[in-house]
Amino acid sequence: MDWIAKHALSLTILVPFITCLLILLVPPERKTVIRVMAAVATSITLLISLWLCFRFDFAKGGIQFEERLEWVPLAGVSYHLGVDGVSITLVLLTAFIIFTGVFASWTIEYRTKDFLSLLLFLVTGVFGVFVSIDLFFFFLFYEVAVLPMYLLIGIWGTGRKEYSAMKLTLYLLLGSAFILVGMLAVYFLSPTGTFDIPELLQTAKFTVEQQRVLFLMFYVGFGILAGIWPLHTWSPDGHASAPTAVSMLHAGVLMKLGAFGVLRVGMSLLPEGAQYWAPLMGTIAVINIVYGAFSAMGQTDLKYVIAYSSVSHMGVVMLGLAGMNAVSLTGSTLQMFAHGIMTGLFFALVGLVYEKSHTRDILKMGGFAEKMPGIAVAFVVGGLSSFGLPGTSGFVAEFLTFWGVWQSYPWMTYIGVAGIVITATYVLRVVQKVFLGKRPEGYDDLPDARTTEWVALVVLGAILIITGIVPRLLTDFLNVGVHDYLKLLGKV
Amino acid sequence: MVGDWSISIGAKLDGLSVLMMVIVSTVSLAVQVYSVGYMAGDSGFARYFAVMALFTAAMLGLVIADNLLLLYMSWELVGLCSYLLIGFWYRKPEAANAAKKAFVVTRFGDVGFLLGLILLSYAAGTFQIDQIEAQVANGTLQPLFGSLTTFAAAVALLFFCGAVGKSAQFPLHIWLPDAMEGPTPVSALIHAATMVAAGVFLVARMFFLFEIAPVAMQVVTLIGGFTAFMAATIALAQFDIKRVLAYSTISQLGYMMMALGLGDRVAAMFHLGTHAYFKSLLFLSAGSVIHATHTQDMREMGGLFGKMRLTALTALVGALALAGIFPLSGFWSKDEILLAAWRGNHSFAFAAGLATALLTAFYMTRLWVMTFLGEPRSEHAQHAHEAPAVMSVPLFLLAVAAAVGGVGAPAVRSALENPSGGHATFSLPLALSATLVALFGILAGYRLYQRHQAKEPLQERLPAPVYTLLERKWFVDDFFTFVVARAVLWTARAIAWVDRHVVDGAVNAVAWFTGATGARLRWLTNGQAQFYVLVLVLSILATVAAVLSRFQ
Repeated sequence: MDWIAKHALSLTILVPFITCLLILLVPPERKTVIRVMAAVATSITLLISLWLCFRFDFAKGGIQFEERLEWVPLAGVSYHLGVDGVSITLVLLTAFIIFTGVFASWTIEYRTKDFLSLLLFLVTGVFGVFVSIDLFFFFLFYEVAVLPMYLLIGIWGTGRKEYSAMKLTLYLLLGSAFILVGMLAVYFLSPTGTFDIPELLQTAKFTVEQQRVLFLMFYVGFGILAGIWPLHTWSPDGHASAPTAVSMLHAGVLMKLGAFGVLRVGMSLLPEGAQYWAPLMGTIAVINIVYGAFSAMGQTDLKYVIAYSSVSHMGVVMLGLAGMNAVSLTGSTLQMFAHGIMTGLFFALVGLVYEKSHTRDILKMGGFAEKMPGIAVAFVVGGLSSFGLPGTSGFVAEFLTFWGVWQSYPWMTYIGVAGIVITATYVLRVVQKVFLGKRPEGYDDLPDARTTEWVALVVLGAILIITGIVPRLLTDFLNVGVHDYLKLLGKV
Repeated sequence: MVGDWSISIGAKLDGLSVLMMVIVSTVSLAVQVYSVGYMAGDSGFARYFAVMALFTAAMLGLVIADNLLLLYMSWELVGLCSYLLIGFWYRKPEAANAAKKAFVVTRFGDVGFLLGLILLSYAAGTFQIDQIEAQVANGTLQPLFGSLTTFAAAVALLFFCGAVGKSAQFPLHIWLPDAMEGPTPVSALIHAATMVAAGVFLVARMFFLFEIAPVAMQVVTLIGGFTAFMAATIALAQFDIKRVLAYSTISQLGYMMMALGLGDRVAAMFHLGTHAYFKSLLFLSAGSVIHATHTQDMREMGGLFGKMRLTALTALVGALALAGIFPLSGFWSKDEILLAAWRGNHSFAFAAGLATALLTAFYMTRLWVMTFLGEPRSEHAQHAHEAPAVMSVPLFLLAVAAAVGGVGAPAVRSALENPSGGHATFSLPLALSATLVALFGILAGYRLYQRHQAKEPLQERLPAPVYTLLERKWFVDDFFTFVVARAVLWTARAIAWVDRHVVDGAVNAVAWFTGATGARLRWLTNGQAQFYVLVLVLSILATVAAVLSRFQ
């Protein structure tokens, strides 16, 4: 027990990884066994994540649950794990999404074994990124998270899946190239030659010019993953083609990884560079919000609507980062969580609707609420959170972001707030087109969600409402984390 | 707790909130009891009462909120309930459309509310309404820009945007008539008595801000007065009984806004209260009629007086109260508003108020006569019969409230005891003239409509362009449908196209360029040693030549 407590963070990485290997040993016909194994593994990671939240020391702050193993001391590489108030919520987010994602993939019959083992491998990488505080491992896990995506989309995807898979992978690798160069520059410019983030924070002194160049590298590199305009076009194609669980994980968690990378690596290591580029970041974020919302409204493919809404909502996250004050950063990090849950829910729902109706064209749908009331209710809950209705976590996140950013750049608040009207318009339009009105011919036997399919709907929907009514459940963590980042930014 | 801000939830009980609580909870009670009969047998019975209960809770939260954030949150929640209830019969495309329209249009105004809230929170350093009020009172509020007056005007007008959306004032009134697609008790509670009055309540709640900004007050008066008049004229040319009432609601809300703009909070809130009772009464009576005749078109009703005596009488009480006939409640409250306009020497407001009073009396007479007198004009109207007791008892109680609501005046006045809240009491000449105007409207309406005519008499008597203007609702709906909605949709399509073909096109172009470059350069690595040697020799020669040419 003590060992588990000391290595809880390693376990979040190891449990999915080992299960991934174990699944490889099971004969492919034993699909139920494989599914149960995946479900058990993700339940364990969920329990560990909740346990971490429970044991988090709010008074102490800083990086907690640290684990450190020298790996290549000569090169300054160590297996160094730890979470702060921000990344712990992202670990929790990942745990929830993969837990529900496995249930959402329950009906995958084609090469089940390969699918679930790749999915677990993918999530190993995602957990790894959020808990690593060594740049080398951070990058390693990041690549681990990107590569299985190619296979998952290419094999189990829909539509132009090969094209989308290739585009997504190449685009993200382009981002990786920026990150790698920036990372190496940080390594060589640091006095002690280390990849260790806490050590870098203490020892490294970068000149203003260096910071400006390096921050831009990280911003572009991680920004691609966060879907910043105009480097976002991998996201709609990728998310629309990917199978349900992959879309959930990718839009729900991986895009946050981009934003979190900007915060953890870019802003905390290079505060002056960040401040220099903040107006640009904010401007692009505002474009993301408005442009993404309009693009979403212009789509007729249900999955593209949701994919573009992610582009729009990631704008809120990036806007909060650009605001660089306590309120806006809390809003931004909360939006990472809120949007992750919300978009996970959305993709789970879109997957269900598609599976049952065999269409994603919203113009061919209508009146589905009568046949699938559960799915309709969950969709509306997600939609309400999407346009920031009070009582959902989306409201708290968006309100804090817009409210906080006003202190730094009032005009961004004015435009951003207008963006949420557009969001309300397209969300309600989709709800109307898909679930309300007259049902076209041929949809008389649409079933509602069944057994395992309920898991994602109920769990994610409930989180949206609970954290919307009691935002303290999350903001207590975020306040601690944000306070640490503000110190690094020299704003406390 | 976020940063240095601590945001809490609390209740504030003052005269204004208690007054609203009384109105909300009594009307809600009557409507919900009535709904038990009206909604009986509907497949969404449970869903209906769940959302109605949520609505009542959110509405009460709205009126007792002690800080702006809680007020805003409840404000949005009642909007959600309104959306869910307008679209209650979601299989009907019109209902689904109306629900979306209602939410989006009010949301449009809410952006103003939200921005006003953000600005004010930074100026005052708090969300607490009491503290902001105290700061305004002793002049310590730090304006973020301009003088205190300019800043207050800006913030007040932003709040007013929210109120315009919620209380269906021009030009955002277009959602309310469509909202009539919802069940009639919903229209009575949400779209007549309570939620739509939230805008008026908001202005009343933030009155201290409006008071120090004359520009804002002037805007409120003008928008209110214009809305009152415009909606009343539109109500003349509607045949759907609920839409007549909806335009009447818009018109009466304009009245209340106008009173606020004139600085008379007491008159506005008094009218809000009396209106809540007589208008919900009218809606429930209409609901009872619709329940019996299965139509909302007044041209298919007629002759119901003999068949539905109680409904006809309660509707009559409501109509006369709305028309402002002594001694019913509407008489007292309307009178106070007219008096405020008179005392305030605001000729536009007074003219708009008086004209609206005339039109109101006229269209209510038209409604009542078309529905209850003459001969039945449809099969259903022929066989109509009175609603069950669970529906008629609430009707009766509301009718009593609508009749004697006038006695509430002193209570409202003392509840809102505000030194600057106007001193209007009663003026006999004015009351007499207002009553005369109303009686004239009633007589004219009766004369025109006592016999059913094949053609709408107004259409024959009014010049064609004027009637078209009324029938087309002053073209505001058309403007939004054909200009605003299209512009938004086309922008969306244009941006989606640009994203696919320009932004993503560039990405694909890069990919294509990389691929094409590779294909073009493939001959460079064709694997033939002779070719490599040839290139090597040529390069050496070129280098040598270059070096030699340097030395010469």
